[in-house]
Amino acid sequence: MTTDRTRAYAQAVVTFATADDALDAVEDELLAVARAVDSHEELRQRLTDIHLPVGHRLALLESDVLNAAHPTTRGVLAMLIAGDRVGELTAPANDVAELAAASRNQEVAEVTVAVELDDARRQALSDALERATGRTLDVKFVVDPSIVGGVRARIGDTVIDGTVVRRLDELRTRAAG
Amino acid sequence: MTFLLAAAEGGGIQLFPDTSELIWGLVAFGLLFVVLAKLVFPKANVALDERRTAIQGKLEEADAKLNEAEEARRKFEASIADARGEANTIIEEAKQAAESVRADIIAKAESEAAAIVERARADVAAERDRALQELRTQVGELSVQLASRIVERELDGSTHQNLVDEYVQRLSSTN
Repeated sequence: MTTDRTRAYAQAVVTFATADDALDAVEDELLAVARAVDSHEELRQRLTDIHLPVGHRLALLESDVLNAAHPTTRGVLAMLIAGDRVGELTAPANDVAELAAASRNQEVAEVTVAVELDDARRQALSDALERATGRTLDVKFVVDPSIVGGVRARIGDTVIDGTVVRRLDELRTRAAG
Repeated sequence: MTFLLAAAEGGGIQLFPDTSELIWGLVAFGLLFVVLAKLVFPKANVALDERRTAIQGKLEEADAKLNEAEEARRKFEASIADARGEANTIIEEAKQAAESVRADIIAKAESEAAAIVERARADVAAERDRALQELRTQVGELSVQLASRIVERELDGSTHQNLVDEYVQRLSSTN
C-alpha cells in the first residue's frame, strides 16, 4: 500500500537510478524481487525473520542472481532488509515503476502470464493493451504459474483478467451457487 | 238480712219482701243507679272507649306490623330471588369466563404447537438447504479441482500461446 513514506522513498530511488542512468534496470529488478518475495513464502519468511541475524538475511544479496543486479537495486534491498522492511517491498517497487513510467509519460501495466512469452507476443500484448486503454504503457511482464494460463493485466486500478484461474474461480462460484 | 231474720222468726220462708222495704230498696237502687250513671258509667264508658280505641289502635298497629312484615317478607323474597339470579348470573359468567380461558389456552397451545412445528420445519429446511449448499460447494470444489488438474496437465506450450493470442484478440475486439 502506497504511503507518503514509500512514495518519498521511491522518489529517492528514482533519483539515484536516473543519476546512474539505470532507471529501467532498477525498476525491473525491484519489481522482479518484489514479485519473488510475494510469491515465495519461504523466501519471504527468511527475509523477514527478525530472529535471524541481519548478516544472514543480507546473504540473499550475495546470490548469483542479485550479484548481477544494479548496485542501486542491491543498495535498496540491503537497506530494506536491514530496516526489517523488506516485507513491504511491493509498495515502493510499484511506486518506483510508476514514477519511472510517469517520467517517460507512460503508465505502468503489470502483465502476469503463466509462462515466458516470446518477444512477438509481448509486443502484441503491449500494443493491444495500449489500444484498449488509449494510454502509453510501460508494460512489465511477470511470470506466475499460479494463474495456470492466460493473461492478467493491471493498469492502475483497472484489471483485465483473462486467466484460466479466474475462469476456474467463476466455475467454482457457479457450481457452489 | 231482714228477710233472713223474718224467715227465722216466722219459722217459714217468705218469698216476697215488705212493700216499704221494696220501696226503700227501689229508692236505694235508683240512687245507686243515678250515682253510678252520673259518676261511674261515664268513666267506665270513657275507659271502655279508651280501651276500645287502644285495642283498635293495637289492631291497626298489628295490621301495619303485619303489612310491614309481609312487605319485608316480599322484599326479602325478592332480594333472595335477586341474589339467586345474581348468583346464577355470576355462575354463568364464571362458566363463560372459564370456557373463554379454556378456549384461549387451547388456542394458545395450538398456536404454540403450530409455531414449534413451523420452526422445526424451517430448521429442517434450513439444515437441508445448508447441507445441499455444502454438498454443492464440495461437489463444485472437487469438480473445479479435477478440472484444474486436467487443464494444468493439458496446457502445453502451444495452448499457453493460444490463450495469450485469444486474450490479445479479445482486447482488440473491444476497441
